[in-house]
Amino acid sequence: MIDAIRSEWAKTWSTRSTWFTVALIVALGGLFALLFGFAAAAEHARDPAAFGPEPDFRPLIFVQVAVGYLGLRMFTIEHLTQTMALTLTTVPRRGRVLAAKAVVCFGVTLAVGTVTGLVVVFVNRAVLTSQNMPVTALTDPGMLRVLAGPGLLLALLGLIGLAVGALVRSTAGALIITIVIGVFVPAMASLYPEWLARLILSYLPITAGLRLLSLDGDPDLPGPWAGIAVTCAWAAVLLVTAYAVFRRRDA
Amino acid sequence: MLGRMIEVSGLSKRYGDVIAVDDLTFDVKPGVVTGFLGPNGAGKTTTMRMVLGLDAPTSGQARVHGARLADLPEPMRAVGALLDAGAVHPRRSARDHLRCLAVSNRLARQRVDEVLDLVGLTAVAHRHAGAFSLGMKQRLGLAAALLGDPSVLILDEPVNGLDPEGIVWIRGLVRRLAAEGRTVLVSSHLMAETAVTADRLIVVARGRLIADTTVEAFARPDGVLVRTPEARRFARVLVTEGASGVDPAGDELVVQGMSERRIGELAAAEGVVLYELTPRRASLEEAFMELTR
Repeated sequence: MIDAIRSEWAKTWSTRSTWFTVALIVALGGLFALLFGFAAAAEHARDPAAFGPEPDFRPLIFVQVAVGYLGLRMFTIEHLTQTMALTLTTVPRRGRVLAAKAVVCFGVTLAVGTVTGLVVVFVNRAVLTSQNMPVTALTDPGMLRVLAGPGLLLALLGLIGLAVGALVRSTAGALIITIVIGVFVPAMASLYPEWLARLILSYLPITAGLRLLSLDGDPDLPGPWAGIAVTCAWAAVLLVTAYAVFRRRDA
Repeated sequence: MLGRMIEVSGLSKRYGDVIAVDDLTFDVKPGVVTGFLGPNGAGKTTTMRMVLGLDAPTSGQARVHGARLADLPEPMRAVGALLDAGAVHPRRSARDHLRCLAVSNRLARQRVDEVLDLVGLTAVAHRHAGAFSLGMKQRLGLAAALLGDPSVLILDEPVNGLDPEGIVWIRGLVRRLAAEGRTVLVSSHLMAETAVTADRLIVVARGRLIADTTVEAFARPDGVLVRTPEARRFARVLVTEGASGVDPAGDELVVQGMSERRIGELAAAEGVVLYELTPRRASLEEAFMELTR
């Protein structure tokens, strides 16, 4: 198992596209933190009640696409380049291949996600402070969870991407699913009837997971741990499904 | 002794209404090169993929070393396979490609350099595999197959895309690997190419086993051609001495049922002048076409 993980680790870092994707994840986090920060400041100037001092993690909605890509590509690239046959003749136990990919994916996205989360928080704070807006004190109870949480959330979203990649096998197909479920559906939540919007916010992997990073204590939405548990459940169910399919399907 | 063998029994693969492989049974033994021959679409690749556990058989089974590949403790030391030479990440260097495979089976690091050297890619090992010609990709694919120093080798159309020098090289390599006691299965749709390297032949057409034989037996002897100015007289002599058939036409005879050695001795004894004495074999291509029609 260790050897299979080392092999997946070597595969991950021996192509330049991984480095680009990692850089893209962090850059997207910083860029959207900047955009959302100034937008929030402008809104705040008009209506002081519009935005609170809590860190704004909406940038992660966009970041998750790149994180999902990092995960799904671990499978789709092998189907695209036909190297899956080689992988499966050198490591014929398919559960082992899936597990090794999942471990590498989780580790990489946990690290990159944690860095990105910190970038988002501190860029956001810098923007708000520069616009003379209040920010939540770093010593605030719950702030530790908010600072450490993005890594876990993005690592789970990476695993979901990995599972979707294993199921769909095509990069374009898996990416479209990630974008539609991850970005389009939650972005249009304000258009839906309230009961549907609440359902989506409570049970989609990204929106439920973002509750982990919330400090608002909204009684209508899941709490931090209930929210991330929903994301965990998505990752677990999709990985088990991916295993069941990958184990039987002709490679 | 099940080690080193490939055993295929009752193997079938069906895609909907299409039967790609139809009840194949054969063994591939160590120490000789076994040619796996059939026209394009005969089911050779599908059979190899089932042996490697990539595709699941509809029925029957394929075993290597007496077990399924997934149940062998060190897969790369057990079996090396070259299926599709194009199967490389285009933006990964040849050396990294092999390293990724080597670590998965805890192979020594220097093994990568050894196989690169063996296939003659050392000088270009740092280059992206996507920039390789088909011939170079074939060599890289072979390097991957040989990485674990496996006792069983499964090579799907390894001469595809190789230049004449590469073809000669791979023939020598394949024969040497078999002579070292390995089990070597090499597929091809080219009869002539296979005849040069293989000792045994497994011939398939439309998913069915057509022949499981030696190359010699496959190209059946087809009489001895004799040219002599005394064709009629000599024909009578040969029949008296036990030839089962002579077929005189002008100064030519095609003699059946008698060795060229015996014919030569009789010619000397009878004082018959010979211009030509040639054992004929049915052309391998003809035999192949006949069987797989």
